[in-house]
Amino acid sequence: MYGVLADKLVQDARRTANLETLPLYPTDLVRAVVRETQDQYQRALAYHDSTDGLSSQDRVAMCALFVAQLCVRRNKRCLLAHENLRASRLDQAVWAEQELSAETMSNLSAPEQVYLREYTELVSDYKGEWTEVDLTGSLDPPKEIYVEVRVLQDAGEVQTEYGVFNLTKDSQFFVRQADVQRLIQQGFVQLI
Amino acid sequence: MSRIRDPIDSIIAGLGKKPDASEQAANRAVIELKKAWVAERMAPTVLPYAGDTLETVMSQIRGLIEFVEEKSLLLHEGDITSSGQDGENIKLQLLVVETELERAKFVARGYLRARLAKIDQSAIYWSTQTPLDTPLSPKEQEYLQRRLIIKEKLYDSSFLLSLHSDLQNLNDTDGAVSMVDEPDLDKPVAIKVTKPGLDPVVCGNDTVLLEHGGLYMLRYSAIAGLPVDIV
Repeated sequence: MYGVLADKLVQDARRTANLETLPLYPTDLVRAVVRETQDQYQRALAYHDSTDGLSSQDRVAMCALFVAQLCVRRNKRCLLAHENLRASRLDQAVWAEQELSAETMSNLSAPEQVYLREYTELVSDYKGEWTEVDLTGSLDPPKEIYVEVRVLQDAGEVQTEYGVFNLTKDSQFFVRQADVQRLIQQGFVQLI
Repeated sequence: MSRIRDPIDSIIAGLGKKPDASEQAANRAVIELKKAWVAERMAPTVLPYAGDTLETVMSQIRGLIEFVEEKSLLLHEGDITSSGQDGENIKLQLLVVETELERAKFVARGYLRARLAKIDQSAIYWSTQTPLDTPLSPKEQEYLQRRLIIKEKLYDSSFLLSLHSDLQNLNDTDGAVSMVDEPDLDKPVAIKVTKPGLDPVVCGNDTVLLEHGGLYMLRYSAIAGLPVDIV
């Protein structure tokens, strides 16, 4: 039945929206939807030719043409919506400056990997115009300058404005929040 | 006793001092920017760019950063022992200035990010605005152009190029659903009227009298362009 494949794609998008990380790109499904869309479009063209535009009284052919057109439009919309959701997840990761794990990276399609790289570049260029305010910083209002943090994983030495401190697991520090913001986002330390 | 009192005295003395003109302008700028940020967050469309205010705040931020660096250097050079009274004094100053700095940075960041979020949301719509009509700053326009290019490339190479050339558009507006996402100008916003003597506005079937200082909840389209604060 027409439209079932695209529906699967929408289901996949819905599942993606609830997942922590991006699932595997459904290459075969996307390809199948594209193929169906192409078939339908050819059919629509054929009907269009045989009914000589819209002047025909042949209501059966008109109806078939209409359904084929709707199917094509819907498929395209589903394809775009699915890709848009995945792209917006990548955008979020770029703005939060999260490194995607190797596993998530392998779940991306090749065009998505290109997109991720180019968007990261674009954001860092735009950010470069506003170095003072650190555009990718936290969007929560600042409460304290100094915070107590606990180290979650070993990460060696970290250089800050006020000297070096050594990140060993389970140690605690009293530091400037601005200095460790990056480490919090990357999951190396947590606020206490 | 005097050791403890002195810094506090100096702060109290500082309180009475009238800030000079440039300080006042700088303080106003942060407040102005905060207003612009709140309005930007609440309004459904991108508002005119508050470039001058932002620039003033940015130069203030740079000034504060310089101040912090200078003072921290003093502490580090060891001319002043950090436990001594001068050291305590500087530490207190640093604490106050750094808090202020973080706040100013946060407002500037929030403002720029709020605009970008809305630009991303309706990217194609904003790219169709003429340079005269657009509320976007030149930097934001550049961002928008580059963003559209890379996103189009993503769709193209993912599937659009495999479709018939009639189906490759991203900006079809005919058919059941327009592909160009426009800001919803009928979104309700809470406003405060900042000028007296405004003409009544029409919102739906009702005519609303805008009293100076009054708070109203209206559709954005009814009050766009009026001298109001969006709160």
